Amino acid sequence: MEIFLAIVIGAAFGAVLDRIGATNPTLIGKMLNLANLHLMKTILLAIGTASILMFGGQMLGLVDVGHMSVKTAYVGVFIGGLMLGLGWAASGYCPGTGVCAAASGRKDALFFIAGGLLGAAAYMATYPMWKASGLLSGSALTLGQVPGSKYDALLPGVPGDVAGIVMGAAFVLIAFLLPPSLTGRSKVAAPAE
Amino acid sequence: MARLESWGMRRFCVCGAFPANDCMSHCSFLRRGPSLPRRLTLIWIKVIWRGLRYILKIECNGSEQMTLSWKVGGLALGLVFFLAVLLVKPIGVSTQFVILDGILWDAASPGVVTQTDEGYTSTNAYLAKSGGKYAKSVANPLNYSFVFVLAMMAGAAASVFARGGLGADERRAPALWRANFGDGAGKRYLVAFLGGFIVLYGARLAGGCTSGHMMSGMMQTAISGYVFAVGAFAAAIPTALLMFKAED
Repeated sequence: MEIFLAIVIGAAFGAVLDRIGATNPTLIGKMLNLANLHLMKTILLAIGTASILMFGGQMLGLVDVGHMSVKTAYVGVFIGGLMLGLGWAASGYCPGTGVCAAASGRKDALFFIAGGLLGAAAYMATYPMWKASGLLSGSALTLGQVPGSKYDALLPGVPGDVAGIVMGAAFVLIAFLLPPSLTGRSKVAAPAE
Repeated sequence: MARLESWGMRRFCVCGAFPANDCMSHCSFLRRGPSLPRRLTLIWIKVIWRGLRYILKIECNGSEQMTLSWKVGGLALGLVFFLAVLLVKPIGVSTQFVILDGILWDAASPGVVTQTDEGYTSTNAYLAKSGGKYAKSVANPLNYSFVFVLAMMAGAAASVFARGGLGADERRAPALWRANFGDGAGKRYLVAFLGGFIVLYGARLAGGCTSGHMMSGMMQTAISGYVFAVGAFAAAIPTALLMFKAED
């Protein structure tokens, strides 16, 4: 059953990533150089939608809180984020969109995957060094205390599900308020609505 | 023809394309004489297909080949992330690069991953961490997360194929790259390779990537997700501003 879900949800994820343009490095590049924020609006709306649905569903008892998986926050998350951001902007791919782009016929994405496999292997080799540095230690925190979850809160007094819905609404609001372009130099056609 | 008229379809063929008087000449499936239910099924597939194409067409942002409007695209993407956490667990991708590395490594030199009484472990400290959960995935590649990434590739390929595929130029290097650095593929391949290296090294150091940290993390109000997103955009935006000055 799990494998069946992996196939269905995975295929839907890949198809949607293609249809929103996330597998096209041109659209990633134009989002990151602020010329065309169409994809940024898409991503913000997606995070907001998913957040509201998940926390709303938890409040109604329809979504299993145990399915949450919160990663640990540590200094390495920020350093790793900087590295990923640099490579993401230069290549136009992140791990997920890279494999999708390669599958859809982009040859440069095959080089991205080859580099990625080598980069992951390099991390596997240097992991003990990072571990010893102490930069990998931290705790897995959510913004507020999510009822029934095993994770601690950054703000213990705040109910985590309410905080999740508020944050989700904020993402949706930013998606609507964000202009189509911040540089004004791109000829951004208004999407048909 | 007599049978067609008896269904009250004097003016148009069942295929909807031509007047009924020369139906037999253009509808090969009528000549072969399949059953009525089968004919109706074919018509309905056609109607649904045309409807889907119509919806996709009006929802597309004309300036960028077949891109959904941000409202439709954002809702669709959000729904996928929600379904994942509703039915199984949050989406993540970058771990699977480590798993594939492990599979290749273990195939090249057997013994990298070994079974123990409690589960799996590895001679590599990273594969052995957290009670050997990565080692276990290497030993059993047919697990949820690995199949998820394979399915994701199939889904993206099907979507690209359905909208007509990519041109030869685009397959070699994306339009924005060509506008800034020319048509030569070598430089593009080199940057894609180096980019892949630093992206996956960074993602493993951070413990997740754009999917796992930024999307899945921030939707759960995970502090690590916000930290990661700030770091990623702090590096990505200046890089893109410096690299991509020309429009495609």
